[in-house]
Amino acid sequence: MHELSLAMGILDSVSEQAAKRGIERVSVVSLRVGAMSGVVRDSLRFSWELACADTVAAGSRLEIEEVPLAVFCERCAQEKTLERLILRCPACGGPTPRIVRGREFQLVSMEVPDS
Amino acid sequence: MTNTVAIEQSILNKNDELAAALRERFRESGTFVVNLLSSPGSGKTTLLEETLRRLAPRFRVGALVGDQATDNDALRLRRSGAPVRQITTGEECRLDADMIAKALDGWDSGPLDVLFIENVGNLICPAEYDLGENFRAVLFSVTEGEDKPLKYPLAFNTADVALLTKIDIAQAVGFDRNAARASIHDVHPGVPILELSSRSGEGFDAWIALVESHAGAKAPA
Repeated sequence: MHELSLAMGILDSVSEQAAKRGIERVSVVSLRVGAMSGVVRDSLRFSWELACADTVAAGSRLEIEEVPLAVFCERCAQEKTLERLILRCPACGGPTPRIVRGREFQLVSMEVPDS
Repeated sequence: MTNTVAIEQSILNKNDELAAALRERFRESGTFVVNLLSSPGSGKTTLLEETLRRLAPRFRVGALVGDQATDNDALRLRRSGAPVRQITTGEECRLDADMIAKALDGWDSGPLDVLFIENVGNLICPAEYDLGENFRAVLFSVTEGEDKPLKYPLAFNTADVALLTKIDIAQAVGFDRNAARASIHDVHPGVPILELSSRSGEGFDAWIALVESHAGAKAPA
């Protein structure tokens, strides 16, 4: 289950940022995760709890902003959002290899409670 | 009350930076690097064994082989005579750029024209990790479901070529190659698909020609 190593990676960045700013506790960590990122959300949430025990982020909530898969359809000359991970234009049915959004796996921000 | 601290960074940025450094290193050494991805049992090792054997007379070839527990694949591949190094990943279900960098250090492979990296058998985790490769090949055998690409879209979407392996037994197992090709193109429109068998040799020349066309500039006269 590689979500555990992904969670550890997020935690490393969070800990680094917290240390740099003298932050002692983080209550919420916000991510941006694309539909085509390959990240399994439930496994990531489960791994997050395990990964952050006894750290600056212990007990923190993981917030995930979902980014739908968006492609550019050459034929329609338009950006299209796809419901499924099938790269075909919902309007004209043509192939749409150009991915515009949906591969994201980013650490956006963290929330720090007032002490 | 809480304060929000903006960070905005890619979570895999450390791997991506390391991979970029590896890519530069491979460019300097003139090594063409192929990352092989597939489920367990799709035939990566057999493909690689045959590929090394065929390329060895004309190219300096080598392989890094990822496996969670054993070095069986590396032992098999060494029979080709090419330098092969095992990377035991332990709990990790994929290779990452750091593992590649460490494996290259202290590996007496000599200069290589082509380096193959056999990833851990898994279509989920390896897809996200750039290893600094120039070329990514995803294998998909006829004994797997025709809709496999739809279940693991990222692996197929990030591949430069899809190899339909064990094609010699396609008929025996009732494999629907048109359905399989359609699912590959559903998640990666236009990606080249090669049908081949490492055992019978069917279709193998096209794969060898593809690798050679990339490594060709460095072929000895």
